[in-house]
Amino acid sequence: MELFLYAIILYLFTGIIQAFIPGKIRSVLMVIGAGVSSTLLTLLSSHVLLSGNTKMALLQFPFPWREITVAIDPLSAFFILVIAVISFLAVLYSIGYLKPYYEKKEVSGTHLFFMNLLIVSMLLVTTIQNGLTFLVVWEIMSLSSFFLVFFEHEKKEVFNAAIQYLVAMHIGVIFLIAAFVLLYIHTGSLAFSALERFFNQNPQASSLVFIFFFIGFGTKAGFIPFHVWLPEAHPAAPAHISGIMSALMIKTGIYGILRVISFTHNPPPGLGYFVLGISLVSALLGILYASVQKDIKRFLAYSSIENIGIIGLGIGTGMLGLSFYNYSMAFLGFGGALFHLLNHSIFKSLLFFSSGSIYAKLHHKNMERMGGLIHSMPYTAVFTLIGSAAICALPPFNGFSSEFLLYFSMIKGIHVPGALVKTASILSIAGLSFVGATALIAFTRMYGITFLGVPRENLSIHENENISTHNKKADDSNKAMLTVMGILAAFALGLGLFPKLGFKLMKHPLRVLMMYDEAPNTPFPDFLGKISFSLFLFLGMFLFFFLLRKLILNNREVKTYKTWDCAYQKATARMQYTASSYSRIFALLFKPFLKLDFSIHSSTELFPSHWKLETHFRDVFDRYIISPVTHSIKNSVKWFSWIQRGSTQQYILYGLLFLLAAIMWILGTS
Amino acid sequence: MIELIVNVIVLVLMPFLYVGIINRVKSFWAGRKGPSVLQPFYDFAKMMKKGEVISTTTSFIFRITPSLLLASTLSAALVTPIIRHKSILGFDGDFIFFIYMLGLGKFFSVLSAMDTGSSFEGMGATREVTFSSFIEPAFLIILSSLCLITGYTRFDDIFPQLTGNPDIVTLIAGLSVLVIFAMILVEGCRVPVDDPNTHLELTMIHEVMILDNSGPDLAFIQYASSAKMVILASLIPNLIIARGTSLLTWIILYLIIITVSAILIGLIESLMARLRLIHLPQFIFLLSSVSLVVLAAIIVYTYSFGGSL
Repeated sequence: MELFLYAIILYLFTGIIQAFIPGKIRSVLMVIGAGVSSTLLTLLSSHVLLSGNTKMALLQFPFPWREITVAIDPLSAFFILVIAVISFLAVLYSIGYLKPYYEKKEVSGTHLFFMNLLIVSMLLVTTIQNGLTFLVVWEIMSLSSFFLVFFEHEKKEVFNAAIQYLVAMHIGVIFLIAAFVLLYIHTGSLAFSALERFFNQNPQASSLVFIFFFIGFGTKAGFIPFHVWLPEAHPAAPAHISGIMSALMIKTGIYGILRVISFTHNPPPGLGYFVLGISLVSALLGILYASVQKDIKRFLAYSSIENIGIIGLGIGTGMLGLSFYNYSMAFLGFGGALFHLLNHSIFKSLLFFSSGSIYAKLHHKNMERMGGLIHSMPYTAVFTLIGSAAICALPPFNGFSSEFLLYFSMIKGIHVPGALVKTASILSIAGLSFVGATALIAFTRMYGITFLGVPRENLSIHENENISTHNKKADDSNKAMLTVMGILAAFALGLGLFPKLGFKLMKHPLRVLMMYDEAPNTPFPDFLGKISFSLFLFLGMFLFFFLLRKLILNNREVKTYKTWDCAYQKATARMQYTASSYSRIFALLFKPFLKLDFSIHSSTELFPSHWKLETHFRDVFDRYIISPVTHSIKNSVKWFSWIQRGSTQQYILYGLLFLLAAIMWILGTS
Repeated sequence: MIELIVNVIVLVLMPFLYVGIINRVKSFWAGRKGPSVLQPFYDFAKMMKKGEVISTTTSFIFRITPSLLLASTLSAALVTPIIRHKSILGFDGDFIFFIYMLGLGKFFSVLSAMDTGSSFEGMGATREVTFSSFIEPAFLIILSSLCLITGYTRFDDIFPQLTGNPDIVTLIAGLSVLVIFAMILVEGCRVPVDDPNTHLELTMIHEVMILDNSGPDLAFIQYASSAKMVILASLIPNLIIARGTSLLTWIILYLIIITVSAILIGLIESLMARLRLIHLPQFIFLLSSVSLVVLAAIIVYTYSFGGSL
């Protein structure tokens, strides 16, 4: 337990100290601080994860906190492990990413301080058990990430995104506060552990509390329709921050949901269907929107929504398993959810880091202007390829192992008696496979357009450069960034080939979630071993065929020639397939969900030389639900603007009136 | 053990014959003398003897894709039941592994097409991923419905349970055969989805993606795509032939059914033109609807008639 406190103090200490240290030592200090505390946390959490013992500490604080229970049970330890490892890699990456900014002396101490504060607050969120303190730490997390999104605040879109993020977070917090207040009214306690009694005594009211918790935490996690902030905030933040936010911070929302579930013995099936439904919608629409984005980080943000949906599918299936007393379904559902959470942290941070490397090189995020990066950034290209294959849940990478568990939990659901749960399971299987297939479209599009082909940039309309004669000089990112991406890619491959190792970590957290205490005679999935065997067989065959091909071609003539251009001699880089055209057929099939904005800026000259056409796909939720609502709220609050005139005297009057009312209230009740 | 050896032999030889039969049927229908049934094998042997021409635009992805495609298709074949409902390497949930292995091959073949920077190949790539994205859910709905009714979760346990059972199960198996047959047409890129004999790049799907492949690479790709058709077609005899049939009868029936499916594909190619691209989604949605019908039928059957196996 002390290790945890030391690690937190060290993070805060380096966060503050670095602001006063100039030059190179500053980044070294950041890395050492993060490295040491991550090691401590990894030791601590893996000890808890492997032994299954909960570590607890009772801290005494003055009013209003009094006692704060800090507990690291296996569920918290699992999140601490993920946060410790990924945040260290993010700090290491930030050193490389911020290098040009360091040189221009544009990195303020506050930015790095808030980064450490965000990591600390995430760690605290996963350990604190008291409702009030939890909310405070939760708020620190939201605020510190808000300041991090603000990094390039001079840009208008960054400013707007950050404000939108701040507002969305506070709407989420309102639901959390409401949930805690309801909990307090019914049980007289604000601790999470009071939920257990509450769920047993009052199933109806507790369902409402569960939904409030789900909305509050789901806003952080980015479930549709609470996702609107996510595709704005992620692209606005610098790459290392988007990596932390997408890989770790939105997962604290999932942590909250799981923490609430861990106190329910058998939730009503309705809640399971509710979570399953929302998750399915999030996954489907998330990847649908992702497949039409042009901004690479926006694309990744929507894909995060999809993956949160997939994790939610596991949680929903797990809850249904608990409701129907089918423990192997619950085990595999929650196990798949946790495993996918771990995997998503790995490949999504990898992909955000690689988008950062692209941004550092090209200084824009528009996929339509990229192309051919595989030749100039060979290592980044390989790592991104691994990340993309992993996120499409393709074997032999880690996404496959977790989605396989999810599928299997749903297959278990097929065998549960009850027509509804059977149908729901089969439709979830179909939904998940459609999400996978759409992810394949989205990620082949992203990879194919940005990394393959030839660069589309810097080519004027009249330039007839042949697509085959471009410059192929390598100019990859710096070593710190590549190392981090390489480590993450190795994780993705390793957990894919040895899913059993990853699943071992899930054993005790699952015990907490499903509330069984005796030695687990768990239905440990024995197919995981068979899967790794088949995957090795696959790799063996691949190597065999590849070497065979090499051997065959060894003494033969292998000519290089330009790409087949249908006998048209003057194909240019501009004639390559574009991101918009790649997703066009697919997008047309889903017209009702994708609003296409179409604007033509025509010139009024007599002999027009330049016309401009802009197309954007809009999020229907943003467009038809969120925007009208916020708009009408904005209009209606105008009626109350007379309250806030800006004159101090008036405000003092309000304060006095409030005090008077309060005194009268107390006198009246006592 | 014998089944496994037969499985391997079938897997190695059948892909050549399958395409050979289809082409022979087409030539017979058109009144041509036509190529031998073994022509795909001669083509394969010839391509293996050649060198290659590789586009200067491409990267390592273009070079690894043919081998990877072949390996992933054969890995999917490992879990496919072929003779006597036995697969070489079955495990619980193997049909998911099957679908995702085919997906891996698709991922890389699409990227390899994009790697050339040609807009034709980009066009083929987007069509391939878009149209096949609706097939996977249909296939999984069918398979998980079969899981529901049989209570098992792997290919070589599910299929033997289906044969020799009440009429409605036969009906469900029949509908499943329909979906799987249509899946061969989509995944194998045959008429009415795609025409392998078309000669205009703009209208192709599969063929346009491999425009730049040549020599052994092309041989690998051609072999992998016919192997894909064969492993999908192999599911059909497994849905039809009863459990307990002796090995020899099994092999004969298997070969007959596979040949019939190839002949059917050949006939469809001779009698129909390919659909226009904008009508393709309707064709593929039809498959998903059939699979949903199967699901509904199974749910109704299990609850109204109290049936289970």
